[in-house]
Amino acid sequence: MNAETDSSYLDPEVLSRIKGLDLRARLIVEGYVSGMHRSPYHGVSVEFAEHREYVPGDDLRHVDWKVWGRSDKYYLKQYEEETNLLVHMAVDTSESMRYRSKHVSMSKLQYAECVAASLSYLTLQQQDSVGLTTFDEEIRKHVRASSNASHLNQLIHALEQSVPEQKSTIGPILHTLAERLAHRELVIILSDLFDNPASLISGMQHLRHRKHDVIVFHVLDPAEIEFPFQEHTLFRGMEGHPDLLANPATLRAAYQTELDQFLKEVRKGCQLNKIDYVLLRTDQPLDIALTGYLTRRQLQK
Amino acid sequence: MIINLFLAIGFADPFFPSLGPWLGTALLGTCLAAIPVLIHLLNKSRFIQLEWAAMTFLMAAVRKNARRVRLQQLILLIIRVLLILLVINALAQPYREHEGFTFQNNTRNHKIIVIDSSLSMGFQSNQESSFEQARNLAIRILKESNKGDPVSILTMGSPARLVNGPSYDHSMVHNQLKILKNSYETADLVSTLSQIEVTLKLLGDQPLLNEVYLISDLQKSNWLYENRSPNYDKEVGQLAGRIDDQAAIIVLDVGQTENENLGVIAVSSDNPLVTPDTPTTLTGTIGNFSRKVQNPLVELWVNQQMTARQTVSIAPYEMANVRFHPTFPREGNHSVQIRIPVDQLPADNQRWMAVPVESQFEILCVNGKSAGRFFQRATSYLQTALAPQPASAFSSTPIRPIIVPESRWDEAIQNYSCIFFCNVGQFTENEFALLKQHLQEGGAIIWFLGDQVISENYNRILYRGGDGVFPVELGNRVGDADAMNQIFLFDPKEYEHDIIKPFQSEPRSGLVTAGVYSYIKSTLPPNQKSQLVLSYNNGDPAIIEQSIGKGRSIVVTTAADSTWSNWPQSNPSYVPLIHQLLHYSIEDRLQKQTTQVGNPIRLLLPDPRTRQVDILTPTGISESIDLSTPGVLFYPAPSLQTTVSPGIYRVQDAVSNTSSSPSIAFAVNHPERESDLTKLTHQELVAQVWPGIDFVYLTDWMDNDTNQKVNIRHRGMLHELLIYIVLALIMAESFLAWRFGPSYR
Repeated sequence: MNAETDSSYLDPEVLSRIKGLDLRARLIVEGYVSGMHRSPYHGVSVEFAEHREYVPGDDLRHVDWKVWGRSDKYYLKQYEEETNLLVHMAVDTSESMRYRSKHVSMSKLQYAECVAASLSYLTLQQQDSVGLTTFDEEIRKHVRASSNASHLNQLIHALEQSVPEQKSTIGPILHTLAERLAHRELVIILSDLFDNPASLISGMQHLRHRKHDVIVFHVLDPAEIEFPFQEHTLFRGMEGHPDLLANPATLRAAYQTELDQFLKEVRKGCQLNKIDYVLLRTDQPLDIALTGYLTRRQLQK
Repeated sequence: MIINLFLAIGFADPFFPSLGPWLGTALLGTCLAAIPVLIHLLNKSRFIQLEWAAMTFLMAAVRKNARRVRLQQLILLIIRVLLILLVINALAQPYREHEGFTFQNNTRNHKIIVIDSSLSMGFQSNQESSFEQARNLAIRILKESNKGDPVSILTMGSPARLVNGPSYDHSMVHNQLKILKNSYETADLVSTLSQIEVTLKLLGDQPLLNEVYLISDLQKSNWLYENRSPNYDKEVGQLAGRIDDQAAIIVLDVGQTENENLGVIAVSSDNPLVTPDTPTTLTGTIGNFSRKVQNPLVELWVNQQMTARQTVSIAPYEMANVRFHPTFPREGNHSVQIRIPVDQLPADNQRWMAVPVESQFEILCVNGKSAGRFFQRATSYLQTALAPQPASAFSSTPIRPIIVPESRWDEAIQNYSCIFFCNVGQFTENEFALLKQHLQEGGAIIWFLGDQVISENYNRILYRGGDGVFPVELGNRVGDADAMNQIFLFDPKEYEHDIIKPFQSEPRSGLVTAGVYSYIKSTLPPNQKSQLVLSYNNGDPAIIEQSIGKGRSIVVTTAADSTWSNWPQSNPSYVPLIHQLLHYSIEDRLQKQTTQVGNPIRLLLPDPRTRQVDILTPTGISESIDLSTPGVLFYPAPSLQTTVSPGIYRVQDAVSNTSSSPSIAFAVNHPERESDLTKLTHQELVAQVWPGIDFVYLTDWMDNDTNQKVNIRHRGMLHELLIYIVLALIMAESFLAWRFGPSYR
């Protein structure tokens, strides 16, 4: 599997053709990792754990020259890393997340699940612990953080079971989550954030208050950003909103203004509370999410 | 501003002219303009369905923008509806009114200035005549024209004449206008409108606007004269309609409201046969066209010398006759003039008459039955009645009957005003032609019948179903003159006819006692051309007359001699009735030497071989004229169509032009209907002269010299403007649709 083929798995279009969230997660992470110059597979602990065969891209500093001297093969020395990171995924599974526009291959929920799974996989690969919460107007599934390698299956199972049918109230959920998480964790929120911004920010503040680090992956469909519709349309409201008949062509500017204002408000709230905010379009490759995560991850170390 | 613009627009409506102006266009426009509205409504009912998550933002956008979006849609809808309406209106050939005499536009403007040059325009008020005012007005219109405008000048006379143009040389037109003079004619509206139509076509297909300025005093007796034919109104309407389609019509009224006038309407002689040294009666008719009683001093001038004067009192809008009894001392053609004092319209204050004074008046009597004994001839009693022989002091008469046999009458009939045919058997086609011409030129024929007359020949050659020279259709003879077993008496009934009217007051004249034994039954034609003068007591016609051409034809259905009646021989009514017939038949004889201004002089000269004559006009100019037909004078030549001045024209044979040779006088007079200056009102002009014609009517052009507010309507101009507006709207629509629509960010 060369680097180019691997990185194609970051494209949602390609990913949507692959079944099974675990396989998707693996492909994403492998594809992502192989494309980078520096391998993330290195520990920082002094305790030796095992040898591993060299793969291109590995740092030559970690090559065990003694082994090379003995066997003429390149092995890397690997160290037992201390698990010092707890990651908690909060995935919005409300009805609005089900939305998928015509020319996009994944719904917002599918995209969010992919991101969540691949981040979990990546985290577990690094011997860190991952937990998961799925929610709509209330918490639907809650999986405690664990660093066990088989934990991934549990997480993926929980994600696959989510049914996007209910309304979402993100703010109160975040409050609940802040209370529930006992340890200091990195909370990753995957949602379209269609809620009152004030309540949303208040929830995030609560998380920050409890010393959690927060990354917000704001998942939006490109149609929700661009509003490209031309014809007279009856918009059928999700999450209990009434239907609306309108000429989208004439409303585009106004809609975009409203959306921009909302995004600005959310971004500002995040910035003030030192929360990382990453906007994800469901037609974009998934490496943006991974980069966002890893940037944060490195800062933390 | 826009409202003003649209108020000033009218429509020709080519789509549904039968519905009247506007309505058709309005209907069509409304139907088409409804299309965008329908599309808009249909569009609203067509939509797709879509699940939508980000409803909060959409609803907020709708809430805040609903009004703006509705307004934008409404603006677009209005523009689209307006587009269709404007296109329809542009197709409806709208015309535009503009202010001022001149229309400042890139398109050139053909100005046709028509000046009424009729006699009534000579009416003086405020030191200048209506004609001078009209001329100044024309000069003003000329000055206010753009340099490139072609200008045509027409005079409204009878006929109308194109004086100048179309000409681009305004200074030349100006000079022409300055020397333009008033005429003595009437104004012929039909001829004027025809000439305008011709002038409109002179510039061919050049892209021009046309403006017709009609400057007139709107004299009612010209524009809407009494006794006009029904065809006249129709023709005027059709001509004006055609002009209206091509040009803007502006009527400038220069007529005066204070227009009191006196005019000499007619001059006539009671006796058609004027002899030297015998008093004759001349009658002048004076018309008072004012609201008060007038007492003008009327003068009689004979051969440029005043011979009599008298004052006459005339009631408002009435006419009065003034009688003079002059005596002419010598033979020859005398000029007679009736004059009244000069008033504001001087041209109608005199009228002329040419009076031929003759000591002998020759009458041709054609004898159809020659006989050895005098009184057995058909003309003998007639001859005696006309001029008794031997002449005595009591029976002196200028009448000289010339008796010719029926075979020789056609040799020189043009020297005779009156011809008697007595018992002439039959006529030929050539003879008919001669007689027809004789009547056309004002001659008279009196027919007596008798036993020689072949009814069939008379009917075929002379009567011709009512279109010939004979007033009745002849039938069979009634009564037996030899047996004398039946006597028919004359029945004058109410003495209605002028010929027998004098007998009414003379019960002993014998008219009702004359016994007729035989006559030829006759039938009057159904077209009422012929008039019954006298009938028999059984109701059959005895005397019938008919006016043919300028002359008269009279039939007496019995004989002039004593074969068919005892009337010539023993009845006292015979002689006066013969004289009555003669006078009546030549009553208009003197009018042959009179005509109206504008009509050419046509005169039969005494010598049919005359080839050249000299003419002395009233203005003192002498002209020598070669006659195209020997013996017949036309002056001026008909092809010239020039008018002449009123007055006495004297004609003399150029070859025998000596001081002793007699000259023939000819009187040319102004048209009498020009004296009545009553004006046509605007309402009459709109309702009766030009119903349905679009024209601008102006009276106060004089007071408002600089800030003239004249709305002149131009057809075929506004649609261009509308097309430009449509273009602008199309661009605006495209821009707004783009601005409001899908591609806007």
